[in-house]
Amino acid sequence: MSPHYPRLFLLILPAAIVFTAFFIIPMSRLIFIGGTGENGWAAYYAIFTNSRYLYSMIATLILSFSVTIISVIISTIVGLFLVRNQFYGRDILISMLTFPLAFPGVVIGFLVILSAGRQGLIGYISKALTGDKWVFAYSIAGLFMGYVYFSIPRVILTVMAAGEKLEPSLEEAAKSLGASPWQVVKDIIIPALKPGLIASSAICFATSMGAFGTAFTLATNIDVLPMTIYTEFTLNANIAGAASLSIVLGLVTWLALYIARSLSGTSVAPAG
Amino acid sequence: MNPTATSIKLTNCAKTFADGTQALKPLNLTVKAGETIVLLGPSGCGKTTLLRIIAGLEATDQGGEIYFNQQNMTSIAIEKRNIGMVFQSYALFPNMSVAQNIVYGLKIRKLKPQAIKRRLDEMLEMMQIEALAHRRIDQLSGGQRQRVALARAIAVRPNLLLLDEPLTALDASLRDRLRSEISELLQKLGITSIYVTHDQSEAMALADRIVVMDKGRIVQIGSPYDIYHRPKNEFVANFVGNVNHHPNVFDANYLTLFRPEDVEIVEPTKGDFEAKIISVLFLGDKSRLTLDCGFKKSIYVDTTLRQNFKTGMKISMHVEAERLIKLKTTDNGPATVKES
Ligand SMILES: Nc1ncnc2c1ncn2[C@@H]1O[C@H](COP(=O)(O)OP(=O)(O)OP(=O)(O)O)[C@@H](O)[C@H]1O
Ligand SMILES: [Mg+2]
Repeated sequence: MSPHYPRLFLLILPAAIVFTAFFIIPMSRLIFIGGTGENGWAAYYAIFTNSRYLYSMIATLILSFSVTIISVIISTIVGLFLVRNQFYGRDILISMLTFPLAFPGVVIGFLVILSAGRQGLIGYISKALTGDKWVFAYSIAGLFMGYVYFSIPRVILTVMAAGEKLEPSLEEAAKSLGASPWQVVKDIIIPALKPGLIASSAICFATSMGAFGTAFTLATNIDVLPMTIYTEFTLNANIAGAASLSIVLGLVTWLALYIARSLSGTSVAPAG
Repeated sequence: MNPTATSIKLTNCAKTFADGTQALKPLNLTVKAGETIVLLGPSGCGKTTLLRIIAGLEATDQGGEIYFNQQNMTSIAIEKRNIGMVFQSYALFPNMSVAQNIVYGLKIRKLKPQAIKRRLDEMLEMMQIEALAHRRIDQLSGGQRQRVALARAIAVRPNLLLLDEPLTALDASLRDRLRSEISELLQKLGITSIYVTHDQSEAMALADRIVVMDKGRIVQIGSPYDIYHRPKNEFVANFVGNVNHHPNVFDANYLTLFRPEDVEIVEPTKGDFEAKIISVLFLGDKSRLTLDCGFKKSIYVDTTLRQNFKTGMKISMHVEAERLIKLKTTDNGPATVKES
C-alpha cells in the first residue's frame, strides 16, 4: 500500500462525515419515506400519473429555464457595461444592484406586489397610458419578475469578475482581423465569459427550481413544485407524496444541470 | 516588391489622452509601399501610441489625417483597414486551436473553405508550425506562439503589417533567431510594415528606415547606416550605439563625437590623444577598453588587436577625420525633423 493512503484518508474524513450526516442519512430517509404512502413506491411515478404534479413540474421547469435565460442576458449586458465604463456614481449603482442578494423570498414577493400588485406602480402607469390596469403579481408572471430580480445580482457579480480579466488585446486582435463588434462579442467575449456564465446559470436555475418564499407570498394562482410539496405536506398531510416529490425535484434539477454542463464542454474542437 | 503594397502618409497626427497626457506631438510621416519602418525610442516615447493610431485603435487628435495609398482612412474603423497586427502579448484566442486562430480573419472575410484550407497550409508551412495545427494555445512555447501570431496576421494578406515589440517576451537566443526569420519574411512578402522596438540592434537588422522617437516627437528618420553614422543629435547617437566625446577637439559650435570601434590604437605619442586603461572587457573577438583621459567622462574603445591589454597601461589613439561625428551644438535640444 502506498504510504500516502493513511494521510489521504485523514484528509477525506471530515468531508466524508459531513457528507454522511447531512446528505446520505437524511436523503435515504427521505427516499424511504417517499415509498411509505398508500401507493407504496408508485408514489415516485405520481409525477407522471398525477396531472396536477406533472403540470406543476412542467411549469416550474419552464419558469426556471426562462428566468435563467433572461437573467443571464440582462446581467451579461449590464455587467460588461459596468466593467467597461467609468462614470459618476458607478460604485453606488453596483452596490444597489447587488442589494437584493440579502433579501429573503418573502421580501422579493412583497416588492413584486408593490410594483405589479393591485395598488402597484405598473398598474397605475398602465392605467394612465392605456386605460387598462395591469395586475400580474399574483400569477406566474409575477413570480417570473421576482425571480429575475433576485437572480440578476448573482449573475452580474460573476460576469463582472470574469469581465475584468478579459484581455483587451484579444478584442483588438479580433478587430484587426476584420471582426465586427458583434463578431467580437460572439467569438471572443462570450467564450471568455463562458465558464462563469455556466456556473451562475446553474445556480440561478437551481435556485428558481427550489425557491419557495416568493411563491408563498404571492400565493393564490401559482402552482410551482415547491408550493405543491408544501400543500401536500401541510394541508393534505401526504408526507410520502411530499417526500417523493422532493426527491424528484432534486433529481430533475440535477439532471438539467448535468445536461447543461456536458453540452457546453469547454475543450477546443479541432479545426477542419 | 509586392504589387499590392500600400503607402502610408500621416499628416499632423497628435495624441492627447483623456487624462491630459500628450503622448504624441503633431507629426508627419510617410512610409513607402513595401517598406519596413522601425519606430525606435525609449520607453514612453509614444511608439505604441503612434502604431495604434495607424492601426485605428486610437483616434488622432483633431487635425490629424491618415492616408493609405492617397485614400483618407482617418475615420475608417480598424476592422475595415485590412491590416495585420502582432501584439507583444501575442493576443492569441485561447478558445481556438492554432489552425482556428490562423484562419479566423479568413473566415471573417468569408473565403471559400478550399481557399481557407490552402491558405492555412501555406501559412503553417511558411512558419514551420505544421505539427502544431491542432494544438491548443496554452500548449505552445513563447516562440511558437509568436509564429502563430505572425501567421494569423499575414494570413489575411494585409495592406499593412504592424508589429509592437513582438520579440520582447522571448529569451535572447530565440529573439536573435526569430529576428532574422522575421527579417527574411518581410523581405519576401514585401508588405509595408511598421515595427516597434526599443532595441537598437533589432531596429538595425530589420529596418529599411528607422524612425527615432523621443518624448512624443520624431527626432530623426533615416536608413540604419545614416542613423548610426550620421546621427542628427547626441540623443540619437547615444540611443543607437555608444559614443565618446572627443577629448581634445573644442569648438563652440560643434560637438565632436566618435564611436568606440572607430578608434585606432597607435604607437606611443603618435596619436591624437592618450589615456590610461581603467578596465578591460575581453569579449573574444574584440576587447572593450574603458579609459581615463582626464575628463569626467570615460572613453570607450573597441579593438580587435591581438594584444593583452592590462589595467593601468597608457595607450595613444587616433580617429580618422572622416570618422568623427560632428554635431551642431544648436541641434542638441530635442529637435523636430522636417521630412525630406
Ligand atoms: N490610455 C492612456 N491614457 C493615458 N496615457 C497614456 C495611455 N496610453 C499611453 N499613455 C502615455 O503615453 C505615453 C506614450 O506611451 P506609449 O505606450 O506610446 O509608449 P511606448 O513608446 O510604446 O513605450 P514602451 O516602450 O514602454 O512600450 C506614455 O507617457 C504613457 O504613459
Ligand atoms: Mg509600447
